[in-house]
Amino acid sequence: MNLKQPIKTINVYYFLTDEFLKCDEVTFRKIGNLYLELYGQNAYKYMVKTYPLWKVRAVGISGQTFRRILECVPKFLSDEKRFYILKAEVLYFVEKKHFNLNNSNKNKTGTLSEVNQYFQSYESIIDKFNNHNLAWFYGNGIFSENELWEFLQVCKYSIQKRLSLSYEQVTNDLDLLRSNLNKYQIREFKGDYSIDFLSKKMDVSDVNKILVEPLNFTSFELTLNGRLKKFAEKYIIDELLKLDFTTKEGSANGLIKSNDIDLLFNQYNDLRKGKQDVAIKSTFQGEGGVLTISLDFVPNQKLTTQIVNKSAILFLLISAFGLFTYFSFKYKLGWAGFPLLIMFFFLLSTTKTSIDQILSNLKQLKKNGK
Amino acid sequence: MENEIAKYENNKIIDVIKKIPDLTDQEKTSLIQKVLSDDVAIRNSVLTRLADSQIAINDLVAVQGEITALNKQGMYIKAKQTIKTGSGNVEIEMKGGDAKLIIPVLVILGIIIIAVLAILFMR
Repeated sequence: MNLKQPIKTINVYYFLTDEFLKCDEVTFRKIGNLYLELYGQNAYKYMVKTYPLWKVRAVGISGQTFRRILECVPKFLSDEKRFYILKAEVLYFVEKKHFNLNNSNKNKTGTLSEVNQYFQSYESIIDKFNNHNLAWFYGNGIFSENELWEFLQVCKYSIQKRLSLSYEQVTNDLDLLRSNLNKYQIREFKGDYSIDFLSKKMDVSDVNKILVEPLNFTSFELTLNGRLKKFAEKYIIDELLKLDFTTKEGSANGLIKSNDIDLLFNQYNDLRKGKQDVAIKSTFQGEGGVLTISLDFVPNQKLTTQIVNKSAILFLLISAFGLFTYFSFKYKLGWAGFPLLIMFFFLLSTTKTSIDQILSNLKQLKKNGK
Repeated sequence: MENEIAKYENNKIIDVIKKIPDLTDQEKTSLIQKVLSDDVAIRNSVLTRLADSQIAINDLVAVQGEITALNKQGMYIKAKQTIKTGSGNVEIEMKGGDAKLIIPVLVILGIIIIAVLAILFMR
């Protein structure tokens, strides 16, 4: 799972400086009036005097002046440009949040019973986004509270749509796996599933034992009526197009994955009829994530042979030890004490491993239906 | 299969675009074109990947045929193969063959030798 660190599509500060340096006379006068009102006569005079030099980059803008300009310029931009910087900043904030959420514990494999928790906790974090997360825009009055709130609602709406789509896709993938396991009567396997949207990995080996209760996401109606309505609507359309694409692509992945899982299980059942040990590891891109399945099979004949071999070796070792001990005592062979001790410990460890192997083979035989 | 693929061409989103009042005709056309082009891309991807899965089936059948033939000859097999499918890949590893009973035979021989030695010592 490779998460990409979000990158700012635009640097709002440079964008605003650029807008200031190339603004027309009317806009410059408006900016100047606000500048005068906010920072006084001296600051205003300095700004007007130095403006031509800033424009040709003969003089750099000092930190304080730069901050002052940044506070005045956005208020005189066209609605389209204001929305452009707002969108860039909000989306960067949202993507950063998404990255931080997904980057924490990304290498940890969770359990299937936690799947609802992953989605619920993500939803609750989205719900907490508010104007205070965009302190610069809000605190400096660059956007009104309503404008910020409205666009955050638009973003929340879009993320929630993506989240609920991802949940639906994940549950479809799990259902598909469940039905195929039942169809091909595969009782044991090892598997994990990585959710694309949340970059979370979970163990799905017990998919047939754990039932995931369907999760209902909070739905909210989106009503837009502010000054930036037109642009927010365009953004929503773009998001809906992306969602539509993700849905269709997911369905396509689901169809192909279903085909491939069918092929894998069918092949596995055929190979089980042979005399070889079989180990299959496969990866499938599903609707909402990547599924990895590992299947192993050891033929019954081999398992039985191993049990016979281990039992015989064990019997032989115990007999040899018994005989050696008997003769050592009978013929009073003092030198035999040390080899006897070594033999005893060797026998002890061999007995343990042999019994473990025999038990594991018996378990495997039971699993194979014998 | 055609029916399966056809469902990626639904017109739901196109209807939504057509009903948005604030969009100009040009904007609507451009959005609809994007949807249609995405549909074509998905359709192509499905067809290519289905073909990959079909090739994978053929590969697996061929491998299985070879294994069956080797099994009939009583040979020991060790094989590993990675096959690309439409949605990922399948890695198959096999080893084994006719299970021999050499070890039990050797063990039984060992027991007999120990027993003979024991009898000899006891005398």
